[in-house]
Amino acid sequence: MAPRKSAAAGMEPKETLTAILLADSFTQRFLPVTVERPKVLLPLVNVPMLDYTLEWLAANEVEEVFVFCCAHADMIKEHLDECKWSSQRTFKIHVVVSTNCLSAGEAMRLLDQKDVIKSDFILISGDVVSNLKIATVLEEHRKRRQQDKNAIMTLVMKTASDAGHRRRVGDTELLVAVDSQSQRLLRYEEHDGTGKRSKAVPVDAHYFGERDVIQLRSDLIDCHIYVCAPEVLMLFSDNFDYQNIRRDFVIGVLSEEELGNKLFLHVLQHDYAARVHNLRSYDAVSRDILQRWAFPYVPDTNLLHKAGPWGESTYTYGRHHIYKERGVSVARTAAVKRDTAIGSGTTVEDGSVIDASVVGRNCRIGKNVRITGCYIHDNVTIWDGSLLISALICEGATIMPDVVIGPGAIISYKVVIGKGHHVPAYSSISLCRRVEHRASFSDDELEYAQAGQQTSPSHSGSESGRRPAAHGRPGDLPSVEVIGAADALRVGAIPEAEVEFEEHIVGRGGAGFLWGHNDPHDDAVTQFSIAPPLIASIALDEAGSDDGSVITVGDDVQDLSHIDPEVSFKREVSETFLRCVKMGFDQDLVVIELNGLKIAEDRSFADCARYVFTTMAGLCLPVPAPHSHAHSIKEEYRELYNDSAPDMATQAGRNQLLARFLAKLKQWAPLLQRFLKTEDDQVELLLTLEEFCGEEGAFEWSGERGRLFGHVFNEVCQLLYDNEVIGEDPFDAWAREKEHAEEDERVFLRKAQPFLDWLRTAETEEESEEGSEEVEKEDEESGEE
Amino acid sequence: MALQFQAVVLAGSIGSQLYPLNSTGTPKALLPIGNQHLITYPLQTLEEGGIKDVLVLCQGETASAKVSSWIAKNYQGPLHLEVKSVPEDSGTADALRTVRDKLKGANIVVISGDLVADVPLKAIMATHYVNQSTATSLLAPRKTSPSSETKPGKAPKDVDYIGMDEAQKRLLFFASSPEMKSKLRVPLTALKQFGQLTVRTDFVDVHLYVFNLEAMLTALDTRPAISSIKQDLVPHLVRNQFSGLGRQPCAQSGDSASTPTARVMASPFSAAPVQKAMEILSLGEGASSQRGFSVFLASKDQFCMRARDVHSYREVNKEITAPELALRLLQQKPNPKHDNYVHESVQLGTNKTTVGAGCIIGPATILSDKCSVKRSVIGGSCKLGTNVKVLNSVIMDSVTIEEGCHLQNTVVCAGAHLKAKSTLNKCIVGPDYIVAETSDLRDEVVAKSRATH
Repeated sequence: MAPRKSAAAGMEPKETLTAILLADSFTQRFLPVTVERPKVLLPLVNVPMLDYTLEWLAANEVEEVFVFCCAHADMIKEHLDECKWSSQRTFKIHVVVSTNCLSAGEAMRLLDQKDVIKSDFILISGDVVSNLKIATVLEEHRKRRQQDKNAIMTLVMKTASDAGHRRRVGDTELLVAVDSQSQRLLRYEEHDGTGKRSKAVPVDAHYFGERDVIQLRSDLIDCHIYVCAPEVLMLFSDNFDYQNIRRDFVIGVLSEEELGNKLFLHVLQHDYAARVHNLRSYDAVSRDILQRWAFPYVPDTNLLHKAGPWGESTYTYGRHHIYKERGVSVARTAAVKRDTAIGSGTTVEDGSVIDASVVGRNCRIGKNVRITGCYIHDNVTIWDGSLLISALICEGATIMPDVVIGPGAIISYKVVIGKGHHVPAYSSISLCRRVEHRASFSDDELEYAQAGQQTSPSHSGSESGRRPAAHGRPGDLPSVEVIGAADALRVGAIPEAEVEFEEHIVGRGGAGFLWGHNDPHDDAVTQFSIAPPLIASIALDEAGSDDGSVITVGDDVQDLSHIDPEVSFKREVSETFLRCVKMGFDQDLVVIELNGLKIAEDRSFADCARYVFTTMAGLCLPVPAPHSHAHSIKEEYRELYNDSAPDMATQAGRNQLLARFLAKLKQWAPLLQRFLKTEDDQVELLLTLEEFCGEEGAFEWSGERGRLFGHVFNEVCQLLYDNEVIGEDPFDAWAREKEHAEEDERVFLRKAQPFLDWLRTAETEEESEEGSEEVEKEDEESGEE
Repeated sequence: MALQFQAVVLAGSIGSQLYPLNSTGTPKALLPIGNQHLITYPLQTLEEGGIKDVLVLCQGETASAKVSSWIAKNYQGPLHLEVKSVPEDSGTADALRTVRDKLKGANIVVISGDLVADVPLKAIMATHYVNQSTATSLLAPRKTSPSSETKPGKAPKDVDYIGMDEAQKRLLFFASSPEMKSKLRVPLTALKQFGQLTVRTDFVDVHLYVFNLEAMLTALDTRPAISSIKQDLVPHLVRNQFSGLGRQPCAQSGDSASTPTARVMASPFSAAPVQKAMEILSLGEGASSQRGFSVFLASKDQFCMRARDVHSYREVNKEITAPELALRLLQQKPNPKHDNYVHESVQLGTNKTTVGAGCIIGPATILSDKCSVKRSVIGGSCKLGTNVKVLNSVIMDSVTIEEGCHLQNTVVCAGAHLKAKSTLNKCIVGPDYIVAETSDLRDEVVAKSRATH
């Protein structure tokens, strides 16, 4: 029936809806991962990114898709051949390969030459996740086109939910001006945060010659979905210097207003759309998928792998956004916490904790491993006792026991990290060697290249670096020997071939080379890293470029969803206290400030007092060097800390610390007394002091070096008693509580024993009858130990 | 609330913008609109707002003497008026500076003496008060869109560029210049803080402001360059909303009280210091954004217009003849039969003389037979001969128009004499001018030369 119908004379053929999908983003943001695999095939919550885009196109009744491949074209082709669409008739995929294209602009010119696009089409890159119904945008676009042939493109954008949003998805600043009635785009301005910028946005007054109302918006995020007229391709051919779609094409068209071409904006209200264009957005979009913003593209709908190389998926949804496939085995004593997905065949052994992370298939996670905010691809082995924070671990990597991997680290394919090694934050390790050494982010990508650099091909390039031979590549694929050696080290054997791995990078028995280590104080590094950005830098951003002074943005703590609430409360208290110290407020004001905090956080006075106390103690030591962002100390308060740490091995050093502590305590004791009224509160303080000295709980990653106070625990107790912060009874209650605790929890009780004895004696002297029995008891106990 | 507000009327001078309407030395404030003196309109607005203390500022001694004697003789309202003269050439902000010691209220309403409006001042004051704003400005929609009068690709002329937040409650950007501007410079901090900023040209600042006295005086004292309210003071205060963000309180500036810590320190510890401080702290981070420049938008059906030049003078007169407006502004009931305002002492010719709806005719005016008056205002003691047609025009007191004259879109000042069979279209006839017989004038301004008096 159908063919005959369309062949009928005089009948116009129905427009087929086509899409151009750029399966190469022409960026280098994912290096070194993309040396070995194309970015669009990287798993995003255990599904290749490309599949999200294809599924979305298919759901929007797109009939033909031209997939433009450049780097790793063979891999992409292979993936497409095996995917579920390869056999479908209603959704045709044409692969267009060009291995020497360096930019989206060249790709567009090539497609124009091929002359395959005849009608309005959707332009999208293979890393967009969206659940938008494009029909409404298409309809708007076509309506405008009927009235005005020059309305050649509609850009889809969404509103950032709050000021931290842009930062969270690693987007650069975007300013747009639109005609508020027609939504015609008048100005598009991106800032990558580097370089100087003026404090004002210049707006041409002549825009007002055609309209009365113009909206300026800084709250939009470009979704990188474009509905285009065929003229767009022609414009790329006409302007052979257009490389980047936004930087060159959009801005070019807007600046050549006299040619009459018009661009329009569609702002999403409720739909989801986001692009994974760097590691930061990789983290943000993964999290969105886990938290179901992209519904129906969530793991438990199992939409995305019906067949294909990745096999069928079998996710089920559990409370707190925990997704598990069939065949996942989690030990009884292991914990899987919120916002986590785990692929089939993975085992999690005793005592391990996985929190806010994605783990692929067939992974092995040993005992007492802690994984927070990480992305772990398939076939990864993590041995016992390792700790991973906000890192990306690629397929086939092996992490030996007791390794610590800091936030923002990238462990590429098949790398082995040796036993007990510490991988510093923001470093990336790969089996590939980096060929060219440039400053870490200067070679960013064409997208962010400045005008002067655009002509130079060495600054541009496709993601894998398959660029003309004359120019260096960012890295070569690892040789057979390297892979062989790594595989041997993985199982603890001695490699046959002699390969010298950088042991100071990967640890003894590790395999891999340093690709790049980035300075965690460099804003450009943290901004695009997989680890969430620092709170302080968000605050800085908010304060504007005016004078660089920092305002506290307390609410932003919530943005970083996987920070322990206790830690963030501790941070709030300590910052409030530090501010008071810095401003030299007197006690009454401090009370007011803390009171406000107490109410805001719905805590008790004792809770505040505990952290005020530890912060105060911390001031006797140098600035802490925290292991996680959650604890970092703001620049402005650093001066309050002491310059040096006393040498605790000597008596003089101990006395020095105690002298400092006493000075602080004398100053703040009235405050603590005010907050610690009841016996229970005072016992709580003692328990916190224990945690502080043992560097446990909220102090585990704070780097405050409470350990040093552990050496003088007894004396500290004495001082607290002398200054009437803690009375006799609480000490007594604490001692009694601890008496029956396990051995390792009585460390501090033992340390405080001389003081407690003294206390008891003093008591006995006063009320001789009652006390004597207890003293005997105590004596017995200490004798046992 | 009333005690906290004090008002300043900027009554202007014997300005040149209205030449030749005031070429005999009538101050602008005393020109008639709808047969009432112009100044009565802003005073009426202030009465309605429940304000007690009003300073009337006139430029130049002559103007102030005339206005003050008029007030002494004629004003019977509840306002306590005090007329002050300021130097002839001073700008609006300069004028405020010269009377700074007289300003006592916590908030100052500043109103232009030529504003004819039926916007409730109480509502504007309430907006200001509730938002704890540094300033609040009244904006009125334009009748015609500026872009419709501008060629594409050219910037519009004589518009106010008004940048507001999404809710249209805050003024985030303000630029105004009679000249064509080429670029607007919108502060980035404002845009970043609010995410969205809408710049529009279809509203106009009509010179009714409420200022926080402290903020205003700080600006006037620290910036001697501020001369005009609209050109300098308003843009300065609008910018200042953002520049203070995150800065340490500076000791000498008056608005240091706006930063939370400083206010806590300043607040005396009374019986419940904690609670009080909490209140202030709860404003906390948002404090600087709470205190800002507010806007009050007049709606389309509210009347709001300034008679600042001859053109707008005629427009206001024309508009005011609309029946429901006159009811609100003149507070007179129209003649129920003809829906107009013809004074009872007017003698109308019995033969075919018609006065259209909304027309206003002053006392003791005589209209002969076959006269026709439509959408016009005619003053007192005028004489119109037979067969005179008056359309869309303003005729002031004691004007004589002989038979057969046709007037359209014309303003005839007091004491003028139009001889028989003249035809005038879009003309201005100065005071005491005599138009010759059978003249045919179009788009002309005729007046006695200044030298003659």
